[in-house]
Amino acid sequence: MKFVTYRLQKAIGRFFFGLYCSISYIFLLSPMVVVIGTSLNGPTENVEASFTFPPDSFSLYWYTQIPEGQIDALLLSFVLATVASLCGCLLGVPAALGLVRSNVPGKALISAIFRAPLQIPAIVTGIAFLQLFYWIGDLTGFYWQGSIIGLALGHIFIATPYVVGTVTAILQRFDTRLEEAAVIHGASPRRAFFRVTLPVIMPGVYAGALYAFMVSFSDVPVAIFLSSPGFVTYPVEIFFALENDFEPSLMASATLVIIICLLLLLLVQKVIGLDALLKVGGSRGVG
Amino acid sequence: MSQRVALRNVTKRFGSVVALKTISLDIEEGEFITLLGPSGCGKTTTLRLIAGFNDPDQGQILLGDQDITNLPPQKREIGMVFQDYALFPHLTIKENIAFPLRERRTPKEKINDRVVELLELVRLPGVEERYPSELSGGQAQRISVARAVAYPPKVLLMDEPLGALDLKLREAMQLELRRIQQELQITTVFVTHDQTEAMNMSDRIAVMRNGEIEQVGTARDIYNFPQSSFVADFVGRINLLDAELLDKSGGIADLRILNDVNIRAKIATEVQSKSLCVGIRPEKLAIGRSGHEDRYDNQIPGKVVSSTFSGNLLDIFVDVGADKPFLVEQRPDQVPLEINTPVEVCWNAQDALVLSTE
Repeated sequence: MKFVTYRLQKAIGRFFFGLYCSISYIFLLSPMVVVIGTSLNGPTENVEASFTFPPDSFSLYWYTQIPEGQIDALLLSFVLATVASLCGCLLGVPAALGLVRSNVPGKALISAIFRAPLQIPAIVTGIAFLQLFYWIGDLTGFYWQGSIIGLALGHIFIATPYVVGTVTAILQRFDTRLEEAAVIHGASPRRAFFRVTLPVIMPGVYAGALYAFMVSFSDVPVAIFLSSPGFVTYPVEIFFALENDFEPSLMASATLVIIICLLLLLLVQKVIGLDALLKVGGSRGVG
Repeated sequence: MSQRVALRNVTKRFGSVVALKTISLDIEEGEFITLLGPSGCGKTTTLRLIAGFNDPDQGQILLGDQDITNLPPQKREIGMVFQDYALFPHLTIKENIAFPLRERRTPKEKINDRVVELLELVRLPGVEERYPSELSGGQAQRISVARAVAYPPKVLLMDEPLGALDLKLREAMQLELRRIQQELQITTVFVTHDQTEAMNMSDRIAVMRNGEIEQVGTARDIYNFPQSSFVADFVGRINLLDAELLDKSGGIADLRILNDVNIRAKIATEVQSKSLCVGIRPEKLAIGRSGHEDRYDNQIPGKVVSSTFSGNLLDIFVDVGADKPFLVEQRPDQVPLEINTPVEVCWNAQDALVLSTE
């Protein structure tokens, strides 16, 4: 009898665990389902009527109505996120190496400075950069706000800490004997870094790069200050569109972005493997 | 190719901690020498100084006739086997073994042949395309050895390479490493805290303690003629008793132990220190029935405390009134004695060693 109750307990446990997981997933995914569903509405007399979910009729009509400005903004956002992610790695990897390996005095302070962008509200960062660019502009005559340079600087600032976080996490578990093995067997310290250290910590770099990309790609508060008319990132463009001309085409363009992001993630999974990224423990970068 | 190594008055400090007091050691060409000692004795520091991972504060390190004290590790042409293998996880076995060859610009065709040759040397052919994570501990260690000797190094360093393996595999690998070392005739410095391992493999053993070399010699020398109670105790098993020197003549000393027992013991090495002890290996001891022994030079009465059977040996512990019970090794086919049986522990004067203690 005891055996049966034990098995029953296990079955009940499994059921509730499954239920809990299902509810979590539904909670996380339902907004996307609504966006995708709404985007498939057909054209109606009254624009408001096109926002029904589930959709009354299925059509790709709204996909043909996506304004060109949004496509341009999407391209800009991609370029910007790529630049922010690459530069984030170029800055973040050496920074993490320095933080983990060196014994410089004030290491805690330096590490806090590198984490600072995560603790400053992004809107403050945005204003700060705008002020900075005005000041530089007044000095030199070159105003960086509303240019790719200005946007990129802002996004590199907010994205780099994520790279520092993931790379620091993986470096702390890196066995320095691997470097010694490389050096004793003939590699110069520089060669040892590029042939051994970097490849081994690469999952951490990829994870950081991915976070950096996503942070830049979804940023509104910084970009809203550094954009100019005709030179706007995708999230800012959507933000304005929601205020001014709210149309189901917005849902269509959002759906396109969801699809593109999923494809990109699939590509990352194929090439690098997302498990490798998860193992790195990106939470360090976020927290 | 293989060369001798010499340490001349080498010292090393880490902050306020003295890792090595003055160390001098000559390692012959083709010799297998083991640095043996408890953790913190400086054996790994010595190895890392030879490798060049740390710089000595004072002294010289010579490789052949060349002073390598200030040469960076990558220019020393040394091979090294690490405790946890330190194979490059992102490279295949072939790329791992080829690493030292590639870093020294060996032509590609030569590398391929050499890798095959090395895998045969370590008796693990056909694993070229696997990754280190796919190997067992013993296999990984073989690959680690293959990598270390790939670009024929002038000296091979091994830092507790067998520590992570289980006993059976460790014993098998001891023979393997010795075979490979003999085949290549390569100067080898091996670090371990396991005295059996040291005795099984080495031409000579350097016993280290507190940043100093306590004694250097062959396994036989060190076991039979230890120069201090530390060496005697660390290498093999021994019963030690504090002793007071009464008289000495003709290589035999008269001593007093346990306050009132007079015994005789051999003076193997000149003893300088004031405090002495006498050491008797457990296999040199015999157990006799109380009041019936007269075949031995020395005997002291005691009571059996316990006995353990380990297959090839029967260990009997006898309380003779010292701090620790005496250990007597007997043949396993002997009938174990009852606890509390009164016995005589007996030995001959030439089997007891007079040792200095600190």
